[in-house]
Amino acid sequence: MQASIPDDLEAAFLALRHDLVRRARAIEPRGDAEDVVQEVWIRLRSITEPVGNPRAYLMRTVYTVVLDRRRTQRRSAARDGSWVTAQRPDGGDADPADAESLLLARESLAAVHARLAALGEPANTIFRRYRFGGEPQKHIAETLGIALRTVEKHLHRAYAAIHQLRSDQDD
Amino acid sequence: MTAHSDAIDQTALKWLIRVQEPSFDRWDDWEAWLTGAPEHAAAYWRLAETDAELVAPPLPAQAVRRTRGRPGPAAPRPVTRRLWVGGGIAAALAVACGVAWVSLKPVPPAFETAPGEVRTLVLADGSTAHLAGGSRLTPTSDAREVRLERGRASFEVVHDADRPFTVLVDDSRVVDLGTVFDVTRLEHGVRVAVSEGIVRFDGPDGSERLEVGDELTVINGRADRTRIDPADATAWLEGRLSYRQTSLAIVADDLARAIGVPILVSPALRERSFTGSLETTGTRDAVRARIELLLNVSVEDSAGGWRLGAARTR
Repeated sequence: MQASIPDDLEAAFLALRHDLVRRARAIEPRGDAEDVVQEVWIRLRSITEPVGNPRAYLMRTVYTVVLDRRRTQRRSAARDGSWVTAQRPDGGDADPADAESLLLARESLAAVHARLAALGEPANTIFRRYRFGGEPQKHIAETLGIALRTVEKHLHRAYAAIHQLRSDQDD
Repeated sequence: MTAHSDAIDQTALKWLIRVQEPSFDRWDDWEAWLTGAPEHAAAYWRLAETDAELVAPPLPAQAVRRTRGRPGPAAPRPVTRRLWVGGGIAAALAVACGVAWVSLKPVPPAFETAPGEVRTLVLADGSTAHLAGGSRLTPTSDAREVRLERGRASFEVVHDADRPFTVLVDDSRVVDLGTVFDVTRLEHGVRVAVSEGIVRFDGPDGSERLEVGDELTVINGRADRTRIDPADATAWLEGRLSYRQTSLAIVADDLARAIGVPILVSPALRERSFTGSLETTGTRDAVRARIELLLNVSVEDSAGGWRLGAARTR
């Protein structure tokens, strides 16, 4: 890990700091927005290559920090036996559905395999390449010789299957 | 579940998918929807948190600003862009060693990397070589010639029309005509891909001229030319491996070099074709899970490394 952040990323961070704090507060009102942005700064230290779009990258990092903190809180709450749902001021679902979604996470990789296999092709391969390969949808569409809209449809079906939702793409 | 909450779930799902696009930049729109109603945020985070548990991903690699598209043959240029070399200190040492070697020794020793390591070297003529893990590069008495004894290396060559830069691999030669290119010594052959410029490949069975986006793989004497995204030729430097209809045997080889873990492939799977991209950054466990899901294989511990076999389903 290098000691300093790439210059352009550091400059972007300092210029956008207020926007980043505002974003952090907007998407996670219960959290400590200043603290989130501080963690963004720390995470920048592990970047060793130039970034194409510093603003988008910083916004994504805010998102990821907030997401990671929510996941950590959920795990702690689950351990304590006090479900996070009971404490939600945003009035979100206070039902066992949260427990159900955690169940998916704890299921073995084989179960996820099975659900993906049940989708058939090309949905199975498209999902894997996008979700685990980090490949842009446009690139997937080009290499498979199909329309971008088709890739989007297959991805939606795949994600819906993984998360056990109905897919409005089947209509 | 009501029709209303179902519709919200569908929209949340659409946003989750969009957010995971590497170049996503609609954060304002996303926030506007998220904060539009408490149910939106609840639905979104429930999906996002569960999704994140699937495989803990590293920070997604963002598009890197490439210094490409310079007119004409590459003029001698300093290596100014920073590159992912798996550790800033290792890179600094490698470059320092390269420079010291230039000034002190007439015929330098070989450059070698441990599995999973990446080193950047400055060669005697000022060209740059990035050596992948488990690789060995031996300069010869000719400052414009090196031998790739093992593994993989990407080169940024200082152009000199009178003295072309040459990479020797077994009994083949890759001759630079002003380029950025990538050479791999495979188990039974050689692979060359061109990111910028032109390269001439002299094999025992004839010559091929390779230009930007060309990839040539010669295995057991049989040559195969394909077209690739030029950026993919050297994407391994940024922790990404990208393939079009490539055998799992070769994919496993590249992976092993990148992460420093020996990887065997079961005989039944070796020739299976793979198309897609694979990130090699992050923890070993994350890479292992990614391999299982992306390549649709099982990864077992075996003989100090991994063995890829048929995927298990229950």
